[in-house]
Amino acid sequence: MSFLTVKEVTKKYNKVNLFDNLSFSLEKDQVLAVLGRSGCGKTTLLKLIAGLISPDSGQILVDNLPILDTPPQQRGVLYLYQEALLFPHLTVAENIAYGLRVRHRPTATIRLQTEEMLENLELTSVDRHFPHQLSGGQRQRVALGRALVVQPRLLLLDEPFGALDPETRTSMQLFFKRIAAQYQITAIFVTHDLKEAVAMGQQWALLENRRWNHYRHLEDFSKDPKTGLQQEIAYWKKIEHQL
Amino acid sequence: MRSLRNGVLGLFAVVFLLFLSYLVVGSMATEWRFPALFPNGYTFHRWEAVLNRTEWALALFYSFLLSAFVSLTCTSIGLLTASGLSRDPLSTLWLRLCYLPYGLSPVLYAYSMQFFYHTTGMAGTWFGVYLAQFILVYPFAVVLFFNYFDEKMHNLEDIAASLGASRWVRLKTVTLPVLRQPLQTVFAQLFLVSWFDYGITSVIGTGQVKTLTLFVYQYIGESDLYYSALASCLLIAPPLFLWLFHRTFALKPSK
Amino acid sequence: MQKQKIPWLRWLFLLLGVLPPLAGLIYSFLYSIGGTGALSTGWTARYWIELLEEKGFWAALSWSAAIAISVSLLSSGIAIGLVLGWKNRLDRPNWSAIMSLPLFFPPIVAAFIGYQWLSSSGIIARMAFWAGWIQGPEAFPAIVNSPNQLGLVLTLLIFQVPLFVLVSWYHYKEARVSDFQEQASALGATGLQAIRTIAVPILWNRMKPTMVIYGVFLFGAYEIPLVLGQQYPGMLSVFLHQKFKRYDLFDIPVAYAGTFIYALIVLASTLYFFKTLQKEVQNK
Repeated sequence: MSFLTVKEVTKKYNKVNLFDNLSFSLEKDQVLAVLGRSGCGKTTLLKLIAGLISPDSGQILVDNLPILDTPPQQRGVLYLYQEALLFPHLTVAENIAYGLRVRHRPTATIRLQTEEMLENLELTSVDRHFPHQLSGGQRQRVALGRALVVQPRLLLLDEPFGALDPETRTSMQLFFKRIAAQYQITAIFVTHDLKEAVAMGQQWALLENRRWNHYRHLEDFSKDPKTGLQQEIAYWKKIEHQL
Repeated sequence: MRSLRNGVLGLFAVVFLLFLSYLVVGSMATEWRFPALFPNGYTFHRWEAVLNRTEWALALFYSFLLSAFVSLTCTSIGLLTASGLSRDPLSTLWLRLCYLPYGLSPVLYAYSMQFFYHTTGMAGTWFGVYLAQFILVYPFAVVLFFNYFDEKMHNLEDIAASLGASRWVRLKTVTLPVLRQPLQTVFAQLFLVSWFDYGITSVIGTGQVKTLTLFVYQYIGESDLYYSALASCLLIAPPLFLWLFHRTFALKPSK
Repeated sequence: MQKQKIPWLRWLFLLLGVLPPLAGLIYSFLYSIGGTGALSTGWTARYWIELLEEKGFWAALSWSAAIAISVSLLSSGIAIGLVLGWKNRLDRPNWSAIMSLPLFFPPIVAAFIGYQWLSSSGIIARMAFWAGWIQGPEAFPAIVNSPNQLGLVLTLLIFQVPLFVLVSWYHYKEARVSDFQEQASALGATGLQAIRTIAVPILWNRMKPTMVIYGVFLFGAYEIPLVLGQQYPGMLSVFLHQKFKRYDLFDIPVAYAGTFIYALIVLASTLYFFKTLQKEVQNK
């Protein structure tokens, strides 16, 4: 049963068609990794679903209900930028609690859920720090925690680990997989890194030349030469052979 | 060479401190005619007279009130305007329109608008002067704030929106705290524009509205060095002390 | 980022920000062609002809443009020179505080100080007297209210250069000019060459928005030219203000014609240099 349905969506950017009647669906509790070159429209797609921009035509449904007329703050869809974009004047704990406060949750509930999230994020020791005092990886974890604590219906991640060094990136990938399973997240994870896509996704998509190629199994994703996965595997096998 | 550089830099300090001292000394001189380099004597009687005269006290008080009100209303309405118009599809057009009165001389701008104030009976009133200053300064405030509503600011507001914050909650919990420092800077700039204004006050005020700048000009016109210096001290002192206070005691904003 | 129209905000902005200057401009024009005002007897071009035939108007316009351009250029040049000479000294908070002091001197007070220091009986003249260079105030050269506008220009420079130094220093750091100078030296340039071919061009380009914005303000300057400039024709704002205040009511439409021309020049300049001005405001 589809949780997210995108139906025949088109969008022009600078007079260029980014999508040609783009259609796909995603089931609940699944992470869809979307691959594509820079400028192919991955970010635009996420912003369309989040409601930050509007499509030229088509429909988007969440839980079988159209959402195009719903303002962003009422969609239950959270968009995470590549940059963590934490509120600079709030501490780590206040950033995480922000969504709960504006929803007027009881104070005790806010405290409990924030503490729980801080523990999950392994950030309890820095709860009173301000964003500028954190490392890149820590900031991304706070951004993720801030989004998860309000239990969004759908999470949209736009190359969230793109700005991190390789080691931090790997630890964040493992962290996200754990959290996604724990919180049963439905998410679209955009990346231009093939290895990251394979690691993060439970389904995969390749956005190329305005065409959407959806792969519900890793085998199908691997078989398609457009994805480049076979070439990548062959390359590393060759290196191993040389060693 | 190093001492020369330090000397030139020091010269700037000396020059402006000399100017400030000149005003203070001039206001207390009993007599200071050519060729005397220093006054013949000193007296506080002018300061006593000023502090005892209702006219001066009122001028100081009302000038401060006027400037505070102009800067407060322009800052808040300018902020709201910039916040909204920066997301407008025609944002570039609105920004260009802000530059319409940007470089206009206040006195000539006042002459071009005075028909409105005379017709409505606002000429010669404090409210008329307030309105005229507001209209001059408001686009300036919008231009200044426009530049703080960049993509990053919008993204922060969008994130707050997607976390469930309504427009006014976003303003209170994200926009205003993040822009705390720029708000102070813009407020101070607008305050100074109004506090120091002469052109609009003299034309729209038609001499009925007596701010401190008008006192300075009046005494300059009468070639009264002593009262000109005194009025200048009163004009410079409040913003200077506020600035020194802010530099010394202001809390550092969160980054 | 979602674009969104907020109609009431657009109307508010149009009402408060656009309508007043536009209305003032239209009123000035209508008054100057006899379309409105106490003296209106029907459309006429006579006030425009009178203005355009008056040598004083062209002199005032030329003086205003000349002073605006020259003072802006000089201020930038001096400021760049001082910044390249002082460099890291300006990082000390007290020095930047000193450079900010002119902000607290309104134009009317700057004019007063300029007059008291530069006039023939002013402080400088008294120093010259005690140094034995002059016998009396009449021997001191005419600096204020003189045809050469020297007192006016000097006062404008004294109060403007410190602020230009601050702006120039900001650009020096932002543009990493010292890094570029080092690169030039590493490539074989002498210190002077690096300054002349690298540092100065970079800073001069970056100072353009500041020059434009202050040039526009100076073009319409009123208080300082009123006190220190020559009496007639003076700078444009002073010239037009005198016409507005004169006893002859028929000078008023002429003044409005002049105001209209002034406003058009300023509007054209600001719109032409819009992008340049945007950079200046972003640097604030």
